[in-house]
Amino acid sequence: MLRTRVRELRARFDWSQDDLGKKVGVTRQTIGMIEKGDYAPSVILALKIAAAFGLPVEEVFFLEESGDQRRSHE
Amino acid sequence: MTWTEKMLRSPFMSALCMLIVGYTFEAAVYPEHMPDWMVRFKYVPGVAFIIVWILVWAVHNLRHPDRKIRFFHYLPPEFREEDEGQAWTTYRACRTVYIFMYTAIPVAMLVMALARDVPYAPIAIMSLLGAMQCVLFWREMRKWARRDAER
Repeated sequence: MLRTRVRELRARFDWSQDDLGKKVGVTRQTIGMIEKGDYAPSVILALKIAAAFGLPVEEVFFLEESGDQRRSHE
Repeated sequence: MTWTEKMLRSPFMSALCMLIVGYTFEAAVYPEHMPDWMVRFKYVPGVAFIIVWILVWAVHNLRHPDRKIRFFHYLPPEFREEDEGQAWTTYRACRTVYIFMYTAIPVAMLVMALARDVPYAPIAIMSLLGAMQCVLFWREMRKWARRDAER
């Protein structure tokens, strides 16, 4: 499952959803859906959001491994 | 979104349009089966709808030239595709409508076959199906908007 730190980072930068949406060229609603985990953004949008925060994409979006996956890695 | 754009892009306008088209055809094609008031006023809802739509459309396009809505377009006006998130919610709503139609069309065919002695049944059923698909589309879009509002 895709996890995101968008809400946390947005709060740290003191940006509203609208502010971030304008920076990356999407609507406030799309930022809201990404934060809630309802919508997994495209690679391009994920890269744009990460760039807006000045971070590599893997520090903003990452996969939450299920228990089975974690056991198979170990 | 302004009230003019909300109104023009509302699935309820499309649902109303479907019902009005059905009403007009029923009254025009089967006057002997329709009540007198319906036959007398067969064009009133259609003309009123067109006048209101054109007025709101003209006001919207004059006030918001950057968000113009085309008068004739093959895409339904209720589709939201300004960015990938909106395109995704539109996809979800279309999926719901497709699933509904997958069942509703065979059921409608069965009802039409059973009601073959009722000449106005096909237009009424098609009109209802059209309106129902718009309402279902609206319901699915509202579901995602509500989830967003819950944040």
